Amino acid sequence: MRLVEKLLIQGLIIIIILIVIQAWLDNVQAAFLDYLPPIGFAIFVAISYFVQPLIIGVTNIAIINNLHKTRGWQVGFWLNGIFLLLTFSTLNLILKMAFNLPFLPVIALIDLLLSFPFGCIARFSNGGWTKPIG
Amino acid sequence: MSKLASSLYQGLVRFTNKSLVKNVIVITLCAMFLFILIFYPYNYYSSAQRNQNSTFQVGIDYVYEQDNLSEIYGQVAQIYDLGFKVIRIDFQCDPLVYDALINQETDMLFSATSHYGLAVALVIPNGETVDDVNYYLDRWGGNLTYIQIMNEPETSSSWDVGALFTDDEITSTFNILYAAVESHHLSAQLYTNFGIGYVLRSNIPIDLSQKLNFVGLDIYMNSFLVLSPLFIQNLQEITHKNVVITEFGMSTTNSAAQTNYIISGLNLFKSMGLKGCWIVYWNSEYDNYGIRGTPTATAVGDWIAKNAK
Repeated sequence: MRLVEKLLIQGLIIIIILIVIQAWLDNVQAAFLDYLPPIGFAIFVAISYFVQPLIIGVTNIAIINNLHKTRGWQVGFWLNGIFLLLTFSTLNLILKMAFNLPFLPVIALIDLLLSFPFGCIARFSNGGWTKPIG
Repeated sequence: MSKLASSLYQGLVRFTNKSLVKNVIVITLCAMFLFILIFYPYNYYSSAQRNQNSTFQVGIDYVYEQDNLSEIYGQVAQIYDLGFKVIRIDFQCDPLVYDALINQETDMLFSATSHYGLAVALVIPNGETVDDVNYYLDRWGGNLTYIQIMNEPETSSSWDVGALFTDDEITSTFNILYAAVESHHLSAQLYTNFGIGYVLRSNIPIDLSQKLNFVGLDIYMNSFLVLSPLFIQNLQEITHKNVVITEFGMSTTNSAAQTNYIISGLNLFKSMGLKGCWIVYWNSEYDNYGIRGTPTATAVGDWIAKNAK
């Protein structure tokens, strides 16, 4: 597989996961905030800024290790995940404000079209080792 | 040349591929994105005048009970002349003495607002009794355009430190006052205002807004003005209701700072496409919020003439 294809696949997978989680969080936000306040609020914040970055970070390094035949990681899961989440959120915020677009389906589609550059960013943001660790 | 560029690129890749360098770059970019997420909405709306053709209603909180009876009519005329469309007032009445001074003042206020065609927003405070509400609405309810049920309920039940309402207290008090207001079958729109603290108790605006026509947000201090686009958008998203800025002002003796703060806020809220912003206060005896007789009042009047339809 060529490098361009690997980056495209990596970006596509990460973007799809981010879109799905974002759409789900938007949909259930009110229900979380209304659930046994303030427990629901705490759970919502924990999912948004702890669980979600972990999922993204773990997925990213798993993809890198599989596609590039490496082992280990350079950047921690959470830090890598929050970086990709912040990149995604910043892009969406700018699209939303500058063009007054809704997240679903317009911004989500634009995000999908930007899979390749996002794959480059995701690949750059972490990496493994080609030789055995330790 | 291409060999030099290639070796420079390879060097850069090798350098950034070091774990330490990569971590530093990622952390730096995270901080940068965080700043963009926090400050971009304010910069976006305040950097250019957007929504120029939208209607925007500027109101003001008039503490008429601090003025003499003979002054009230003239003060309402001044407020009208400056271009304000809404007067927000506190709940003031004496149900026991029909001709009590405060009742005469309230009569005078409504007489003036009817004459000048100004909308009136009444604030029913958190601790008000149903009997008093019924008395007020029976006597003056027909003059009201907006009725505020409770004031920043998520914040506190009184001004005492730590005097927070529980969620149950808020809901039950709101329902009692709401039922009292609804029993009068008035045409007034209902709203409740929230402070920035609603973020930590978001269930309250979600629950209360189901019975309201719109929700209010109160903004004080420059820092919260800068963050206000985030709060406004969030409040709109969770309540699915329009947001009006129901309290906006600055207590300072520095008139230039007060003018700058209020005008920048008006520009921001209009640019965001909000329906209106109500300034606190016209007059204020015990602090420096009042804009009456200051250059701020003139500046706000000029702004309304140019920007508010």
